[in-house]
Amino acid sequence: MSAKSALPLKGIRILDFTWLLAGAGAPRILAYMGAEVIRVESRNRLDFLRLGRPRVPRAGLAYGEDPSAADSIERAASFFSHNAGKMGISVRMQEERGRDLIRQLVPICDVVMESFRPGTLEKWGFGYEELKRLRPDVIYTQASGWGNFGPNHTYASFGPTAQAVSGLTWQSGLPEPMLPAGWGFSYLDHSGAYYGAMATLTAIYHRKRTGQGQHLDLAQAEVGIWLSGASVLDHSANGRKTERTGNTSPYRTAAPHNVYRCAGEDKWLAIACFNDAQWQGLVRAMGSPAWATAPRFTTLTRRLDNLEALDTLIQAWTESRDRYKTMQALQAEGVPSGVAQRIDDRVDRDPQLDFYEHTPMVEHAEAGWRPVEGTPIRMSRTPPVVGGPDRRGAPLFGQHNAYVFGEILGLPAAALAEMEADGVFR
Amino acid sequence: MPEPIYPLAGVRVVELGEELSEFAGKMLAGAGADVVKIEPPPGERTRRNGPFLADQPGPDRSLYFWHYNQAKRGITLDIQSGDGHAALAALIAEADVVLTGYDPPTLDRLNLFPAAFAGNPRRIWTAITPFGLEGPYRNLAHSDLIQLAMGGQMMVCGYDPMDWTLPQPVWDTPPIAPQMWHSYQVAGNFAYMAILAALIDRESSGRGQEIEIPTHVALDECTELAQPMYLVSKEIVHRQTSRHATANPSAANLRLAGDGRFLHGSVMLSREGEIERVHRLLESAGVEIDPHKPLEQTLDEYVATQTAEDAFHAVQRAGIHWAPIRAAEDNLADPHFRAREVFADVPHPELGRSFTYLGRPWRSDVTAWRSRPRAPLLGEHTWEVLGGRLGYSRAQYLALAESGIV
Repeated sequence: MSAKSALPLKGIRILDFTWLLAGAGAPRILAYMGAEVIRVESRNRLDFLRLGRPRVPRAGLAYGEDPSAADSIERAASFFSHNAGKMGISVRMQEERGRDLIRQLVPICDVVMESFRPGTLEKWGFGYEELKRLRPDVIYTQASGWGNFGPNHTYASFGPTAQAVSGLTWQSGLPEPMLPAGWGFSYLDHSGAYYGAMATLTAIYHRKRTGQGQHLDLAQAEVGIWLSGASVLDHSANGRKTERTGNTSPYRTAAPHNVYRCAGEDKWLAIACFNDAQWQGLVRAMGSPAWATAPRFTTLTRRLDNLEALDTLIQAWTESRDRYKTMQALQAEGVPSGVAQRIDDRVDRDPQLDFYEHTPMVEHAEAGWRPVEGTPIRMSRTPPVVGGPDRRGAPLFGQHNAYVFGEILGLPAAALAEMEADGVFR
Repeated sequence: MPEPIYPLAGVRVVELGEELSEFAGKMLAGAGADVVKIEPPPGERTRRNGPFLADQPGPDRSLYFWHYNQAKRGITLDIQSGDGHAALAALIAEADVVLTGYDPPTLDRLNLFPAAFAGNPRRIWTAITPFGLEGPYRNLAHSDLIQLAMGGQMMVCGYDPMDWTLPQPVWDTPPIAPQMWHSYQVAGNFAYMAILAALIDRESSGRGQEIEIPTHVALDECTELAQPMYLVSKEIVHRQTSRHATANPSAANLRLAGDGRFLHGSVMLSREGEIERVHRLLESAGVEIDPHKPLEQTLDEYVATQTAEDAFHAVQRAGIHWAPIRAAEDNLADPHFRAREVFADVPHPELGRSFTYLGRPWRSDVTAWRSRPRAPLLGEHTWEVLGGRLGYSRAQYLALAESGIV
């Protein structure tokens, strides 16, 4: 068994001014690909996610049984997961000495990433021109809600507003007159992180081939539009306005295609039949009831014409049945079907997620070894490691000041102590 | 005008797959890779996905296919025939990246695995699958709906229960799978990241590797609060209308404007400065603030007198982050996105016109994003690739065509 190969981004150092998820999730991904990520924070504007609940207890303690976790900015669960693998420094950018420390760091960093309101980093003297002066081949990844220019670029935004503007909210839900259901989580915060990582990886590759850095401008609302599928094209080609279609499958003919109530409270099973063979599998699994052989159900187009009746009859069958056993019975007949899983189902009773180790452990300086969100990426030679090669958890506030300023920059201890006393590291 | 620089220029990708890989392949093509999609001779099944041009089906009229196969070349090849397999092997031999988007039973049937082809130490082989190449769910029958059900998205998207006051709320409406094709987009994003990481590594190591992206695992990592909350405090979040699923019900935030359109408008009056911002908005709109009325009610009444777009701009100018609930195509009319070149016209010479596509996912001051040409017509590049790249003669190509291998 050969030694593990170095991770793909080994040797890449990233100065991380991002926050929340849309911003901070991108360097998290790059950290698990081996980049050294230095997250910059300040008490002047703490990441909101450091203030949220629930709070992670120390390893070995049950939730609520660790008094050191209560109100701690070090234990907020979302921050804890989204920033796994990063080192943390704390610098007051309002202080000249703070800015000077950054000025010393940029030349030894390959990438600078941020997700402030556009103009913020520039105001502190670190716009792209200045960054390039400090490091000519720097890659500057600038993420914001609306982008760094354009009539709306000063507007505020967060995941749900970007989803609303982009069309993603409108597309989700039962048909009108029902309201849009939208997304029950910040899909565009995850996506902002994905595209921040994708754009930065693309730029790192470009630089490896050409030596050139670049300035990347990512807008969360535009990522949302990018994910809206063929809606814009349908409008262009057919003049059509996007309409909601619930859980049906308007673009890949299927009947049935829906989610059905099963035994218990709020338990559902998704079933989709794209052809008559799959329908016949469903019929067999149901025990070939008489109703299923009626002429109005024997072909795909006839089932489509009688969809409401079909759904009612199928649900009459599923509603007294266990959702997992029913899924198994259907899958055994080759019918696409899947339990609508809740988070407890995914964590506690999904053998596939267990197989792929979806909640790896990282070591946090205070809480010890705790599980965080994993990654779906499997690579044979350079497999990513959540938390980086050291499997580190999210940084404590200013945890790596001594290491970054003392060891990496080589600043004398006395100078650092003076800056500490003067609040430069707040 | 200088030649655009594409970051993946010269990277050769061979793609074989359905919905599972098409978005990932589109991303690689957009970044400038030379992506050749290999389809079975009748065409990829996805050419039958709607919507269609003028609602008329046809292998070259699927807008789904146009969108997800933009900037790729396409050839037809029966890879299960001897000659077809030989051509496939030749293409794979020169490829930097092989991308598959078929489920494991199909991969088994086609023997579409790296071990079935001559070794190439520089090759990056990527398999996007529904649940994974291994594990108990490897061979499950699947679709986008099934993925979003199993992955957890459905149970956090939907509507409020009809009655929150019941001790045990009853969800009267089903969980919702957001349209459209998001499971493949999430998986495709991760495939792109992994392929780029492998390309970066290859620059120094000289070696490729095998990558797999189980879509189910990708989706499991994409429900934001649900996982960290449950891992820590075993709290379960529940779906609500048009807002975050939370452990306890939260305030509704859809605001109805005077033109019947909605705004996503959460106001966190507890947030620092929010009350001042709302006051500033109402004062600049000339709205009298009645101290005996809840501020949110005055706000709602004001919004009901405005169009959604006017309310949006007024509210944003006061520093409050609301947005109108637009359809994606509504953004064509927004000068902000026009200025940022979010859309791109792509010509279809065979139809004598262009259509408006999405232009790019991000902007760079150095590299460009490729939005042309349009997706390949069925078999459009078979001769170009077999002849031009593999050196087949015209006679060989015709023989393959006559035997239905291309």
